[in-house]
Amino acid sequence: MFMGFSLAFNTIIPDMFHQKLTHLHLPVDHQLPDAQTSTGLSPYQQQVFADCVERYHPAPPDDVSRSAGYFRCSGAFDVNKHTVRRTEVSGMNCDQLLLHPRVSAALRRDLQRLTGLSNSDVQQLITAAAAVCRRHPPITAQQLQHGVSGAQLRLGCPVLDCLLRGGLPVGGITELAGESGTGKTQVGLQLSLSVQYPAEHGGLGAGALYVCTEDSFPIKRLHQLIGEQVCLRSDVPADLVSSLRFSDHVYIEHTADLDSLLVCLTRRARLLLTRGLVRLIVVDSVAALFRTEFQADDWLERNRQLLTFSSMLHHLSQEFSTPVLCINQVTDVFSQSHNSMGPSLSTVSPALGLAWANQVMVRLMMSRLQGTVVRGDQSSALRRLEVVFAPHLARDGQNAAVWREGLRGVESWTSNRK
Amino acid sequence: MQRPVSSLPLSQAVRLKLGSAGFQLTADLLDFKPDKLSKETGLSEEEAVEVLKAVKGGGGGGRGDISASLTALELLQKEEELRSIVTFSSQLDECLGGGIPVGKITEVCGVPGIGKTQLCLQLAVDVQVPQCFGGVEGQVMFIDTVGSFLLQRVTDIAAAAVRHCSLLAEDDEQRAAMETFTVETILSNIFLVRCHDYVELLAELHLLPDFLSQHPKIHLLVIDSVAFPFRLLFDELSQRTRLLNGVGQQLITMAINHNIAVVITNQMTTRIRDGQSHIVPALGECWGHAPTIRLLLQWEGSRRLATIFKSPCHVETTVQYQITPEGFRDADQSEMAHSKRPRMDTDQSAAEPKDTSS
Repeated sequence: MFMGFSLAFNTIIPDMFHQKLTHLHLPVDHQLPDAQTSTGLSPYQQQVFADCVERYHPAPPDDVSRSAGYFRCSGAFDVNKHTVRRTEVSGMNCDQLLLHPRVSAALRRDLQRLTGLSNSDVQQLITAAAAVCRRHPPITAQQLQHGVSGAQLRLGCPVLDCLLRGGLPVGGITELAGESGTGKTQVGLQLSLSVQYPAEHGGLGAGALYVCTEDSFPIKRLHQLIGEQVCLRSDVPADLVSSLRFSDHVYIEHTADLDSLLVCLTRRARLLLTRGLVRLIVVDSVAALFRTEFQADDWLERNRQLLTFSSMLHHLSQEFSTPVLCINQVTDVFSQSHNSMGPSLSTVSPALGLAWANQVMVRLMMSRLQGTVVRGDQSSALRRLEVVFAPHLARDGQNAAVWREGLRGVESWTSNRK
Repeated sequence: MQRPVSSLPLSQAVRLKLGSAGFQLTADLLDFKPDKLSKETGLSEEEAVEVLKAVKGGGGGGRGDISASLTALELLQKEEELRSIVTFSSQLDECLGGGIPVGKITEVCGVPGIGKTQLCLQLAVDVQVPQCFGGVEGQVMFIDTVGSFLLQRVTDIAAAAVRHCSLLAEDDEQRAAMETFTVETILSNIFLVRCHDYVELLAELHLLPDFLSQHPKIHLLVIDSVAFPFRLLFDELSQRTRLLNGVGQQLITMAINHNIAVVITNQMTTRIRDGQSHIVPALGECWGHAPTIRLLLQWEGSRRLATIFKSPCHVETTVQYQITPEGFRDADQSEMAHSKRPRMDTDQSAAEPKDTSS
């Protein structure tokens, strides 16, 4: 079976290199999942390439294997086991391999042999490839200030937005953890509505994707919130509020297991984001699926799945400048000495452990306090929204209550329960 | 210093063979041993030896940065000339012997929320402190893989640093320096790159030496965080180790050649040992050898502690610090043990006459 190495370069690479390289062809697995095309070859495909070059040059020279250690004689590579197809692989895929500093030394020799390019030419090639891989050249923070960035998604209540210094940051995972019944879903619903306002009123001008993993979506509560939006958002002109068709722009997904959750994110979320229909993703809740589907011993597999899921969310968030809210459950903390992840003041800590916490940029906690707040004919149990950690927020909290129109901060109460 | 092969005093046939094998410049021939060269080009062993002699004999090797050897005294003098980058926490600076050293790699590890990014942002501002205040007065290259570089926070820290220095300004030179040390100039001296996966990070590191040569005033490189993109390579741990070794080598080379301090951030992971779980820095044991100095940030009750747990030149010490709205600071000795950061802290820092730039 013929195999080789094919590249389609863009105009940054000079023509002479293009000529020299087109006679090489790379075999790829015929199933190229969508998620991989933007990031390059999958690890499996890289291994295929490595094995192919190994087979092409069966005995790697001593100094190459010493310095690179990349090519391993891992037994005979059976070509017939793998379906191969000659494909035009974009320049990005192979640059991924060329960039490995160790491998580049080894590949340089092989590329030199295969293409007849000299060492300095290959260096130039690698540099050009790296330049292609880089999305933006470095900018100064001052330019960032003047550019389009730092948009935030307001919650809708001025007191709580003040706690968050503007709202949820765009581009990063925000986690909201708390015991059941504290009002986390309320926050998710409220954000699904506030995202639909235009930018001057703290929204992002698009809809929301709400992924439910445990209970069914509280549609009645959403309609109630929509009805009371005029009351909640007194800062927005009433005719603007009534002109927005809120329920048309909340996309609801029910996913009962991990596989369908991942499919939902890779296909439907990406589609909605690309078309600009949504600019908020709410996952309610993250813990449910990961806690139920794995046994206690499977924590390695669970962490793997967790990392895959969170990196997918993170990439979507960064690529489309979309805030992502993940609602999490809590777990009890028995011994304070073991809870070295936080200042150990509370008896509960967010679920899913350190592996998940490493992926989160902003962590908020909702808890229920003793006491009720009364306003007119409504009364609500007192809650507290706390910032556990965030790069731009102080560790602080704010009391809040849940009303018909949604979650609102309670200003005058300074409960000294620290 | 790079001669074309055709200019070497060799026979025509040998030159033709070299040319067809792809060797254009003498620099390409430097890494080859005679037997390998003969295999690649089809020359006989003697001819290969002759070629290599001709290459090495004339032209001095083609590589200009083979430096003469230095004595230890010269190295000591060089190190003393380099200032360290203050962290604005005088206790930590004391333990580090002045601050984060230039020319070395410093790793900061800790659980989420402990203040690693805060320390990185603080250093990005501190490196720009003018020399008359004891700073390095350099620029900074910030590589952000997590998305935690938020302008609001950087502006806060920059404004607090400017306030702190303007309170310390005593003589005319320092007052003149304050003209150029403003929030705007601080922001204009921070170069930001956002990398979304490890490929982009590797590309950025590959192109960094050129960028550093074009901007010789950069004295700090921050990568926040190194662990985040690499932890997704959980299937091929050996590949990850190789890539990380390469990254470590590149960073050391850049730190020495371009005279910069490299600060990288690492995450923590759980390791089961003897039936008990411990929290250790991520990326494995091999990665632990790459940084020169390792700082561990951790909680103890409601206090934040910073420990130097690997350093060839410092004692292993632990100091307490806090994160205020102004940034990374010493813990107040008189502070009651409560975990909330004070809200409006401006008068507290104004009253501190601490000279952290010693």
